[in-house]
Amino acid sequence: MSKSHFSVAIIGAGPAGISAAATLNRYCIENIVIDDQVGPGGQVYRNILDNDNDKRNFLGEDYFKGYKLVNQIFNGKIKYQSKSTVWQITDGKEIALVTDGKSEIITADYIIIATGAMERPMPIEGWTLPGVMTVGGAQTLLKQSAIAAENAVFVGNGPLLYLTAWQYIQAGVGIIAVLDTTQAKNWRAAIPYAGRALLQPAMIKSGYDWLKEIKKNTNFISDVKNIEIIGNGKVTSVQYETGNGVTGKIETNNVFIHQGVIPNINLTMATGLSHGWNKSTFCWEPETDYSGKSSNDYIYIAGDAAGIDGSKAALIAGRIVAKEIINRFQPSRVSKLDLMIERLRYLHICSIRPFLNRLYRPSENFRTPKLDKTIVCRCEGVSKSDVIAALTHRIAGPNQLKAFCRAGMGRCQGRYCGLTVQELIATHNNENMEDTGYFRLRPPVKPITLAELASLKGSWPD
Amino acid sequence: MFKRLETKSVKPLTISFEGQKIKVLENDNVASALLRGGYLECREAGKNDMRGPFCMMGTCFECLVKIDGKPNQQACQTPVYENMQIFKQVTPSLTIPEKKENVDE
Amino acid sequence: MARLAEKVAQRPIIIIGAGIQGCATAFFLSQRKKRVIVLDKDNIARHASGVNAGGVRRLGRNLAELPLSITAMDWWNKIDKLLCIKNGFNRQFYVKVALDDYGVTLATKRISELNAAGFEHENWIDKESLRRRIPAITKIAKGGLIVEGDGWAIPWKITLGFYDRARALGAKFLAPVKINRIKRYCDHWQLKTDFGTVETDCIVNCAGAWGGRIAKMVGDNLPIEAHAPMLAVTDQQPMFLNSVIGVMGATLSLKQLQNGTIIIGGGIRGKALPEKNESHLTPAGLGKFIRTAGEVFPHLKDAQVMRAWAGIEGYTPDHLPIIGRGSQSGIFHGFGFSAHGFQLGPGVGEALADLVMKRQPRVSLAAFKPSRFENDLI
Repeated sequence: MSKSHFSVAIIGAGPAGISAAATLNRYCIENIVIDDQVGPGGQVYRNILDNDNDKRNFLGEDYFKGYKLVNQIFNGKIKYQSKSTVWQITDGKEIALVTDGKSEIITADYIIIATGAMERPMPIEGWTLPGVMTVGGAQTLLKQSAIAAENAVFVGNGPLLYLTAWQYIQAGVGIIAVLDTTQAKNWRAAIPYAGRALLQPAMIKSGYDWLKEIKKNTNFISDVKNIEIIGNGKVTSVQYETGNGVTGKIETNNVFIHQGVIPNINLTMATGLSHGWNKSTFCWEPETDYSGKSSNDYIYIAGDAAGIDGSKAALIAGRIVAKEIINRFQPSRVSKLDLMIERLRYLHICSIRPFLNRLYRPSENFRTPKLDKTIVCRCEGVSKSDVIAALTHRIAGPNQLKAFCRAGMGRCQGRYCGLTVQELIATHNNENMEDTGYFRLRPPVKPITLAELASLKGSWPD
Repeated sequence: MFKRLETKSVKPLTISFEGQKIKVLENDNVASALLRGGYLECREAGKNDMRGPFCMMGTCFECLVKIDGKPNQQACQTPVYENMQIFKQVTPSLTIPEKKENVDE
Repeated sequence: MARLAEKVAQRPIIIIGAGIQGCATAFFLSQRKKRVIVLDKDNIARHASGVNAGGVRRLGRNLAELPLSITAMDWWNKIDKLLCIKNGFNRQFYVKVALDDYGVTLATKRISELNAAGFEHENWIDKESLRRRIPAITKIAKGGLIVEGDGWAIPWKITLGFYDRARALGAKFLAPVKINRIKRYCDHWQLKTDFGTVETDCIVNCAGAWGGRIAKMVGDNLPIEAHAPMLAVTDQQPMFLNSVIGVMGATLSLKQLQNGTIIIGGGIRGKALPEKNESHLTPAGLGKFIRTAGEVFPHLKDAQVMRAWAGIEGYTPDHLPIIGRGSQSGIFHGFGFSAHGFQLGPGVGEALADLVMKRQPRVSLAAFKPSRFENDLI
């Protein structure tokens, strides 16, 4: 039987996870990296080991810089287990996972959750139509399969949207329009944070370059406050209205939507870790101390899973968390000075975040749907009006809502509707978002077949 | 429509979707293969409610298809292989079927 | 004198716990024009009564519970009218399948035991009839114990139904509210809560897994342990079942809802942390009862578990509930249903209302009397 106990188990083979594994490896601490994708790299460095710089240089320099890091996953004492989905972490330091239809339980002295981020739901009218995808999805198609949609419309805001649109332009793929939903007033509101942002001139320059290229090569429409995707069985056009009252209709079969990224909290919440509501990024984050430790003494969280700070910060966070764990095995093995320098690096790299967060704050126009008929819960087909109707029953929070409508009970387990439902309830009950709370999430963190679950106890009966 | 940007020297394969043969590349996943083939929808979520790949990272569960008889397969998480038979995922019937007369033993 | 009598008559009955037992008791008392206040430390149907498997069965019960269960079943058969709801009770049949010879032996023993006590509702169903009625059942099933007319309900729907009707009839519900102390004061009781002090002549303790804590506050030491039986719900499957399934000699309960999803439970326990309102699932335990489900319906191999959970339930040492008068005047207990109290709920509510109003309950509650534990605790 293969080994089932590790000193450290890392969940997620993105920049934070691999950085942590490589650091532990340098200090000779054996560890396992469990990841559900076919190859390492997470989202940001997806498919990097296969991508050839010559052929896919439309992806940009920053992407290819990740090659060396990601390759470290094959180093010495790191056991890399791909295509494995973790479905539960217990308080007994057990990790239940499934690989190729078979479940197993492994144990570890310490666990690092580095499961990264996902895109914030953007429930605009028509968002469930075939032909609508997330911007992250469009970028994944570029990285994984070098596939792009001609004459698409990009809708929303945020660095990932601008980067992906820029990559499309580099690849020679025509974009009809970018409907930017950044509210005009955000520019002024972000000024107080601009000073600190200047500590990251390279990042600022990148962003500026992207936007310049985009405005040169597509129809860039700012301050969009209303969007409807139209179609019957598939997308045929997008209608929009700007803050100045300018309206328009664009014919297209592909729409890519995005309004920022948020930590993917399903595993951390199902594990029972404490979470807090971040007022400036409008999302839930697991509570961690300065060392990356969660509310559970042996579980650490690194990278975007702890809070959105970007891939460069994730690299440093992975190192910090690994070093903190190394010191728990062997006190003072990593010096206080070393850790202090790492933390300063981290703070420095994050100096642009407050500016980006304020500038690209998701607008209230798009956090919940405008129209009653718009789908809120994609999995169960629950519309805004269904949720509002259920709220007439004096619902205390998202969990009581489940008794009256099926929002949140589908396969994605609230990933694409949780924040929307929470805000609809908070608005209706006239309370703060953190007081409303979120769905009570439980294992399994992803749907798992009866045979896969039962395989813990033997093969499936004939 | 989705187009392929370059074809490195990657082995071509043939798979089928709803009985139609599609030419794909060895390192495609089912979702990218379908999108490139012009198929934007792959799942019936309800009456007049078809869905297709959405997030491409395994979190939205929109791209469910039936592969070689197995339902609930996430197309974006499944690499293609030669002769793979893919069908759209449909909503299950909500009436109990009649028992067949000739039951073994 | 008249004024004093009036003042006494104004004290409401306090029910602690807004699960099905508390809400049903509140309903029956309110129906009989009694003033009732229900206190709950969380909210209506928050724990076992909101998240159990919803089995409505006489099948498989301890003989001592059968009279109460049969009385409750009368109410279940009129539950829509009683609670002004629709489709409250899915009346089908319930089969405990025998998968092996041991199962058959258990079933035979059970039938003779029941018949000897005068009960005839559980019968043997043979292999052919079973396969005719449930075509999807495993080929190796040898038959089973069947009860026609048992079935299932959605637990929060029924508990909320009792809550709604009780409120409509004048009952008041306060939640969340914490009870800090219960004191005997002159001829009545005082409950010190974080909402203030409430006075009453009569307290009904329906506090479920926390029933022991409340009992202690009123001078009764009653043994109760909190456990967390686990459940799972699957994705939509093609309809194949119109009955509830158990297994002789194993832990399983399985049913298919009208929307095609399957609820699988039975009682395999996770970890309960009642002081934190938390219950934790154990992967190995989940694997166990899911595998048992596979033994009965192997065709469900690729069905997916969408969600698993565990409610917090109270268990007594003999797995029989505690229903009856406490040692002090004005105290009544109705808790400790050991994971099979849901079906009894309407019957328990009626019986507790009878006790409170000093009427003779329709069935004997002797088997459930709180005093049966007196010697054990010394």
